[in-house]
Amino acid sequence: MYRYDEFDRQVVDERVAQFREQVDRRLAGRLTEEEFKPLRLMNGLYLQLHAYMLRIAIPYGTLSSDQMRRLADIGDKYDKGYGHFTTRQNIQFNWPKLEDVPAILGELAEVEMHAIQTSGNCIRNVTSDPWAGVAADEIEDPRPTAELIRQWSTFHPEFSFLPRKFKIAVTGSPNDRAAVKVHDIGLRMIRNDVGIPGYEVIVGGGQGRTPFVGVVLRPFLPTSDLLAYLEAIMRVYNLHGRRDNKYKARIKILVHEEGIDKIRDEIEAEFSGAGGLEVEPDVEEMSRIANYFASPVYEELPDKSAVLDAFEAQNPEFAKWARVNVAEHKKLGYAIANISLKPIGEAPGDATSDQMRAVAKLADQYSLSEIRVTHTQNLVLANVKKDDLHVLWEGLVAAKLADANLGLVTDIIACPGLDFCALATARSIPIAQAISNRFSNGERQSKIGELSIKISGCINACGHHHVGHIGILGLEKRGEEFYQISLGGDATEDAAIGEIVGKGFAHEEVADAVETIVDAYLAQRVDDEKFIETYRRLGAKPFKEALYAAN
Amino acid sequence: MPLIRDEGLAEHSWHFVDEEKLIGRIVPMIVPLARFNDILEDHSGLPIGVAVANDSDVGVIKPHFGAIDLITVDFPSFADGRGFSLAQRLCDLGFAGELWARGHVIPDQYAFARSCGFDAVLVDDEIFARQGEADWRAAATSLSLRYQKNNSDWRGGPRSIRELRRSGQL
Repeated sequence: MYRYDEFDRQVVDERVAQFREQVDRRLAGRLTEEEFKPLRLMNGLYLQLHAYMLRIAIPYGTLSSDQMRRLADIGDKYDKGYGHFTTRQNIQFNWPKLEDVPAILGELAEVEMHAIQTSGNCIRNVTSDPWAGVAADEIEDPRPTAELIRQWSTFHPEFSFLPRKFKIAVTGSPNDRAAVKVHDIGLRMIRNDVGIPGYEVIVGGGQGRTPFVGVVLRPFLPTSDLLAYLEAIMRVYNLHGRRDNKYKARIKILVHEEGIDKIRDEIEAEFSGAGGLEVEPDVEEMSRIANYFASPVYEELPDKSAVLDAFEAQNPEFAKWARVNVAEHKKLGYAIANISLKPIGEAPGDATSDQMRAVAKLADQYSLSEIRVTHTQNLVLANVKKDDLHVLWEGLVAAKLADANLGLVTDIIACPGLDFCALATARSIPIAQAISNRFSNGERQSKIGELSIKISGCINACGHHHVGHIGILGLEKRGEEFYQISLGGDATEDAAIGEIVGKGFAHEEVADAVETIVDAYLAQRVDDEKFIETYRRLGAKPFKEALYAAN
Repeated sequence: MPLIRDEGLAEHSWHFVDEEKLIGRIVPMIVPLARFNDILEDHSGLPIGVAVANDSDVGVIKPHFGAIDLITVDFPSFADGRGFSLAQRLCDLGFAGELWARGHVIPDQYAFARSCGFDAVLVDDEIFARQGEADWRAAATSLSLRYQKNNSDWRGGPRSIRELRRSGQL
């Protein structure tokens, strides 16, 4: 993974000192709260319902085991012994005190971490494929691009006071695990018809109140033009994005209101005329960055592991985990082990400090000391020998992290909701817990197969409900929570926004409704058709009938 | 309104003029973009400044850049970052005179303003009353490095990491 050089380190150290000074200026009243707010947000500090919340950046979801241990220590020292992994591949602590925050940032800086631009109207922490560099289906490793964007976007002088937040995601695989079509900018690494590497540039995707699937801005952008082109997009957005209404300020609205052709013309004009602040990195700089992501030295192993086969044969629990949570690695004899942070009945994405330490230790023992965080709020050990999968699993069992539910009905995404969030209109976590308990039976989950449920506690859609196969949106009417269900959303390369199925459900009715939808699917599916495939074949009708027939 | 430069508080003698009867009678003057044509005719040879809003089409004054000594770009709120892009656009269009950010700018934005092509900040009195010269000087240099390219004209400003890496020195 990327390692800081002396420059990166100095940037983060100076940032800590700068924030400490800003806090002092605020406490002395020289900075108004209004002026302080964007400064603290650009350091990841939110004021939530009960306390401050600190969101720490995990650039493109990659962590070292030492960094994970530091997060565990911070959870113990400044929070209540746990942290919450988010859909931005970041981690949030929900209970820090304002006066502790500079110290926390100092402790993070010691392990090359920070909270820079995890909030605020700036370019946010860049996200990517959690299986980057190891996935069997990968065309190109997206991490060097993601790291280049991290550096370029850090304290960008021109783009730190944008109309609204700005999210960029990169994928290097045709199977999109980074949800690039629902980002402000999505980059798909491709090769053109003569084999030259570049990007398909997608713009204007997003969720929130007004969800859109992104549209192609440039079918092919040569690698060497990336930063200048990003600057052209950002400048057009910074100058013309709406600032009169924060709910209409994202680039998706600009693209939608002006039309992609007009926006494309403006961006291309800016691109051809701009001097800009950016110098494209030279070959040396790109190879310096890429070297950090060079393939590790793998052992030459047979594809089949006799050890793995033997344990699978004798232990059905392990066999199930290996079947559900383990993915194909590009290198023979290795595997990608996915760790579910969705134990039955628990809050999605939460990990205790002890669990974080357990994962760090297992990463040291079996996966080159590196951990990935996914936008589905799970963790990944990306380089595990097939021979080691069983001993790894035993370690996960001991840490209560061995749930075999990756991609299944209980692998639920949920925002913190009304239990924590100042914006929420309804609770999310108890809904996730109720559904998780309802489908706790592992055999039933396997029978249902791939199904993504995503829950947001308000219209801002942090729980990505628009792109859940089953999306659940918590709202409030006359003091009562109620939940709108949508079907057919998809965050992958076939991205789609789900459609609302009908009138909402009361808090205690949601798990029943989900079960009704699942049963309707099982009754209608042909062969081993997935839920989303059945939905696409039949539309919402059979599900509506099942849900509302009795009324 | 105090003027902040790299060295700190600076003197200037410019006047903002928006009344027709005064145009041409006060020197040197800064006029709004809408009055720029009035001043062009009877003011040739004297220093001219133009005040532009942050949503102005600055392309219209490009033919007259040679006659303009100063452009100020309005910051109605520090949270509205259009001015940064507008400054960059003016530089791209070839404006080589003085460029000031004017209005609600906070010390933490000084380095950003300089990096986008502004030469100075003409700051609201109310902000300067709360955050004086020392705050501006401290904030300007609180980060000594940046990932974007160098400002060639600001000695003591943040240095470009990419260029330092290229030359192999800290």
